[in-house]
Amino acid sequence: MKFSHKAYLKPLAHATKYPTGPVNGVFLAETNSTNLVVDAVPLFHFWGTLTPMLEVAMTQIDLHCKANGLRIIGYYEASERLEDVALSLVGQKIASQIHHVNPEAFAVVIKNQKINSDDVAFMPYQFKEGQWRVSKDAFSDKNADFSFENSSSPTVVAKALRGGLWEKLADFDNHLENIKEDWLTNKAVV
Amino acid sequence: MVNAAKVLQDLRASAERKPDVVVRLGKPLIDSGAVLKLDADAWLVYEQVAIAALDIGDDGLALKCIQALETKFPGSARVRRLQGMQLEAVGKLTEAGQIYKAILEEDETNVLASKRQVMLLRAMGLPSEAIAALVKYLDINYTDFEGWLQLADLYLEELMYPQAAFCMEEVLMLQPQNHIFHLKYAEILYTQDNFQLALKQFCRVVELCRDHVRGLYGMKMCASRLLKAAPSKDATATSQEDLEAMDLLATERLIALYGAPGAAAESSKVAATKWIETQ
Amino acid sequence: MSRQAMLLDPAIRDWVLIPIMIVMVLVGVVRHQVTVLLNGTPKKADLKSARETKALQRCGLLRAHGVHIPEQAFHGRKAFLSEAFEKGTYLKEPNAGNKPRGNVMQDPAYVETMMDGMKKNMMNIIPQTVIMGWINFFFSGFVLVRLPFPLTVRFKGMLQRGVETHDMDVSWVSSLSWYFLNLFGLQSVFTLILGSGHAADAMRDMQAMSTMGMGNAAGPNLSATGQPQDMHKIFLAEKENLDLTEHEWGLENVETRLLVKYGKKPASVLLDQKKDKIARLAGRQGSGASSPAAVAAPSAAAAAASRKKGRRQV
Repeated sequence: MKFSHKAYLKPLAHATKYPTGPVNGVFLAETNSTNLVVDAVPLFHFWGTLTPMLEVAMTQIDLHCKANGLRIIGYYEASERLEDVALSLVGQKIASQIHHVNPEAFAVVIKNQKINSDDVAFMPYQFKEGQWRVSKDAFSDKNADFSFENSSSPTVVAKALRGGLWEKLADFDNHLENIKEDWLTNKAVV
Repeated sequence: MVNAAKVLQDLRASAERKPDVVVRLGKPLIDSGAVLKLDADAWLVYEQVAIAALDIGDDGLALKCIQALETKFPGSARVRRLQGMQLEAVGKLTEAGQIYKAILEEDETNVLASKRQVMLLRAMGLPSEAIAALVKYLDINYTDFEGWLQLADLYLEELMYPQAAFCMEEVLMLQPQNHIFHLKYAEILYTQDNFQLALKQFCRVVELCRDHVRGLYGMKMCASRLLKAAPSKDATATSQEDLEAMDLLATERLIALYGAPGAAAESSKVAATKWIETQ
Repeated sequence: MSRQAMLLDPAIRDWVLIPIMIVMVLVGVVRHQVTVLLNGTPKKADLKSARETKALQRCGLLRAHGVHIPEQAFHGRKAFLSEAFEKGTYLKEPNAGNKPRGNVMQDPAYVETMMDGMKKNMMNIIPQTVIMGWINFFFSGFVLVRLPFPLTVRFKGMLQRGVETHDMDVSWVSSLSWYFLNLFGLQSVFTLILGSGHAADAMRDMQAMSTMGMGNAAGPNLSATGQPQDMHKIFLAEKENLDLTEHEWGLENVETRLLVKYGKKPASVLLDQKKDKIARLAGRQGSGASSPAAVAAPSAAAAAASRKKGRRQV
């Protein structure tokens, strides 16, 4: 999987905007390309464990994907706890659902401690042997499964976040409060 | 200076949490020593500023306040709680936990320490211990709706939906007019596949807060699910006619909201309109 | 009556009027300090007795606000609280119910609160009694001040206590009355010296005198007579209250209410629904003739009808 700049920026901006609550969202890829993650859609920050709005959001993302030649390829989340990088129970459920439709699906937990540094803040999980396992040595030469389209992404994103770019990001919770918020494409951020 | 003291007093009285304001006003008072002229109120200001400083991450100021309080009231439970919070702020969770535990051993009714302890257990990633401590706390202080909300969140993290629903019911009895709590309860019910009750709760949300988008989405989903299912034989269930009316109302309001010029970005508008059609 | 030509010796001012005032201020300050000393450590609340009283509140809340939760949730809680009250789960000593109640004086918590109350009362009463005795003994019958404004005869009792003369002008103040004026009037002086919330409060003295020996209301649950109450009995009474509470859900017709709010249905629909419901309830009661509610309902309806008639006549 190769992450585009957008796909790295949005999840981190989301986690920066809501440091006190759990956040989650999904990754999108183009239908015909196999390994480029082009975009991410932030979902929730209130409570991520309840289904009704998740159903609405997923269906709408699906519709959005179909209209734009995309597909859902992965799931991300960040815990409100600083050190916590385990994939939550809900996260496993949602990721498994995506995996059901799309066998290449993966999950990412954001390392809160790395958000403001130039290090990679993604901790990818892959579904192997019936459960979600951490993909070791991701984003290095040893692991070819995960990499960046543009290797300078972490540095650029960290700088942009320090500049306050995260304030403009909107997720589905924001959108439900004020439908002006552009949660699907987040044009203001990219 | 007098004005600053007055504003701080008002903030204390209203229990508002505006850490930035408190620090901005309180810091010069404490740095210049003028705070001591307030006599008995001085120590309240110290406590207030200490908590606010912890909130915004000004560790130096917090430490200064706590030390002043410590010299004035050595061994006081209230000061030790502040020390615990300070330790939490710098990441020494275990030490903070020991302080709270010691306070609770001396006085098991100490509300502040019990609440901090729960938050600490949660922050340390020990949900079942946090749940146990919170249940014990709520058995006595059950009128604390924030406590019930916390417990609901903890149960939700563990995917224990019936228990979370129970907590939300308690919250609803304590705070019946807040639509957010009705919304949360509705979503828990929906997650439990109890669409009938969820529909009523979503309706309540929209009743309390006109054109609440989330509530309308919920109504629409519940109504269309119930319409697809076989009609319920339960006499208290919503009638088929009402279900259709609810479905229609939600659809109509959503279309109207999204349809207004400039109301939503093109991408979300297209997705939402299509979503409404497919339901 | 013209002004009486009466002059007061300046020595009265220097040796009686001002000393009384100074002594009262000083006594107030000393008493404040002693009270602070005596109150040193606030009594720790007992977790179990807190739990006991809060359980009652919880039941009250369920009865008052049960309307906000669905029927099932209400009945679950009702059953739980009923059982808990019957078994005494929330009692301080769950097994004490059957034991004969011992002498209350042997209950240390009770004795402690009693002593505490006594101590506080003593602190209030003794100084005032002593000062009053002192004034009565040395200065009884003294006239200390003349107020610079005229007053009606009604004030005689207040201002000339201890001086039983009919003819003296009301604006003269006797020594004992001066004491009382000080007792109440020094309030703001104390606030100035000791800050707000001080313990030299004369109003409290008055309260202490009138409730002397009653013990303090804080502490274990005491009834008006000062005896600890049997909580189990209270719980059982509350349980009965709860059993009688019928659940009525506030969201039963929320769909209709919403439709009315959005103007999809006329507001009269709500009224019709209410009427239907009342009719349904009446029907249910009519079928079960043996229930006491059925007996009560017709009489209530009759009363309502007669009230309506009455209004029409007016």
